[in-house]
Amino acid sequence: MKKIFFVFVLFFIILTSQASYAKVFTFTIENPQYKPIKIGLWGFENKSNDKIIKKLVDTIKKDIDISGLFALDESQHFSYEAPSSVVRGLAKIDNLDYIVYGNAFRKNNNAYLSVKMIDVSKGRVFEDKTFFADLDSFEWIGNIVVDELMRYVTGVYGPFESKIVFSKGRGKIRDVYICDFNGNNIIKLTNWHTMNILPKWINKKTISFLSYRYGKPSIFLFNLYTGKSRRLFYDSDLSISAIRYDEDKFAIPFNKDGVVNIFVVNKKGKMLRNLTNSYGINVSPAFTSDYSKMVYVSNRTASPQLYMKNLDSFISTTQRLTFNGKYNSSPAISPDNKKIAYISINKGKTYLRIMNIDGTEDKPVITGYNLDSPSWSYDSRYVAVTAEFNGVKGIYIINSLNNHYSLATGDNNLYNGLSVGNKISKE
Amino acid sequence: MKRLIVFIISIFLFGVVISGCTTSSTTSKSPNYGTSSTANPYAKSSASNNSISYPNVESSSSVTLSPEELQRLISTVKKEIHFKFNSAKIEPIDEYGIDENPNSILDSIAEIMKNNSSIKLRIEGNCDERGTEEYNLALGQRRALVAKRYLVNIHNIEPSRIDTLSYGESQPIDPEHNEIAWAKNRRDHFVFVR
Repeated sequence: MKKIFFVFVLFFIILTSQASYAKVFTFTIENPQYKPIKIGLWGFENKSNDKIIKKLVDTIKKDIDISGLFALDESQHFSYEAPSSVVRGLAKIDNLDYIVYGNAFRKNNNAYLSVKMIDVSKGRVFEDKTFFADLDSFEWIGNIVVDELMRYVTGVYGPFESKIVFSKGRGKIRDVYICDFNGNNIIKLTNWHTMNILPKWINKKTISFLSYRYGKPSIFLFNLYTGKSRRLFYDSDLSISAIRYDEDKFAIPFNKDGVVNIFVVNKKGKMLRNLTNSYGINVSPAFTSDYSKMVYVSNRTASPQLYMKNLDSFISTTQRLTFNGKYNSSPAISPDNKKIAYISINKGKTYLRIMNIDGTEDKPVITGYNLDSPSWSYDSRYVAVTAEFNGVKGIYIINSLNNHYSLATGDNNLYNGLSVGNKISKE
Repeated sequence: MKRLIVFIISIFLFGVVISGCTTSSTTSKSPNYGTSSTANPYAKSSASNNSISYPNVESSSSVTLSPEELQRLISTVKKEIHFKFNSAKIEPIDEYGIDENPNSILDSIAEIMKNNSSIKLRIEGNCDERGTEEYNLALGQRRALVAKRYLVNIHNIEPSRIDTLSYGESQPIDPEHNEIAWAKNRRDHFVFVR
């Protein structure tokens, strides 16, 4: 009887252990809702302008990859003059949804791109344009082509007409750089042989960053058009970053009396008032576009968590937004004021998470290594982060709708912290 | 029983003798690096005039050590204390290869500062690479400040002699991505400045 009982207990233990093992074994399948849209990138056959064409096509291909929306076909080659009906016929046979085809050439000091875009199922040319730009910046045309394509396909203009500022370097020498949203055209902005980190866009012409140029870290403003810089704030042994607050003011977290709080500072660097007033660390402010709400990080309950402060009511109220995990930081509010992207560390893993502005529908988007400083594109669909995926450190662009991610630019010397600018448009 | 009482008494007396010797040896050493009031000529002259004066610490330096001796003394002191993840608390650490009592390290740093009034200290707060940069800059600052407060509050070191600076996660001493490296990188680094 004892033996039977023993065998029964043993069988029960094995059964339950198998069941618990089965619980953690999951299959990962792609979301069928986000089936890639089949697009043909055809044409671009002009042997005398190979270099221009190659650069333009490379830009278009990179943008299409980063968008995370399209599957690319490059099988057909013909000139821009080919009749659209023939092109559409071929596309239909190849089962494609849209066709982009065209050609590029050089004339005087300009590069020209003639491009047609066809909606295969509707059988109509929805874009037929010739763009031109000077030879130094003609790659930018490729960004416009993909943005226009995305507008037709998704109803919202694409995110590629913006720039990212970031920092890279080694040890105590790190400089501020700028690149296109797709990671191309990297230009060094500072060359100060010191630590210059955490650049942020203030407006279309100006960025801020933290510099150790004069020993103590202080906030600088840098005019991208003139190359001139000035020290904005240095009235603390630690100021961290500066973002725009209201019309011509700045929100700066800095150390005052041993506590880091967020303060409003005017353009002359004079402290006007505090936005937070709690013990500990209060950093990383992010505002809604009307500056009525501020999301920030506070460790008032020992671990860093996200809080939202209502700034437009007579009596300001503060609400805790995150409860999941012991480390939630680096919030970024989408330009449409609907979402908050942030970084979360939970059980040793780092996540990019996105929640609604009121804290609801909090979901992980992607997990990787050393993720930091999410920053939204102007169309509120993409998030740029500094991160390391599969051993490659770089700036990654993440499609918040389908979690697709792409490397914009990889660099082992990249430093955490970036900022995506607004859409660059002609003045 | 008698033998036992005699034994206990003799142990007690031996202890008293030993402690007495230790005290006397400390007192005899102190003038070598000390800033005693008698060694301060400005304090002496003020006292003879019966006027109220505050000891001028900067000008009353009585460092008798040569720069080489001072350097040797500084080199014997540990110049780092470590912290737990997301913590700015001074507490004994015994994890991931770090086994230290930060209080005793700070005490020995304070001792050098007390006895060499011309020396200043810069405390650099650092974090490991986990977490976000802005938060880590603030955390590094707190780590530096907590050590400064200890030296000021416990050892009465002049606050103006101690400077703090946060490097956040930018200056790791171990670039690896594991618990042992992270434990090394969560630290205050002490730099003596003359």
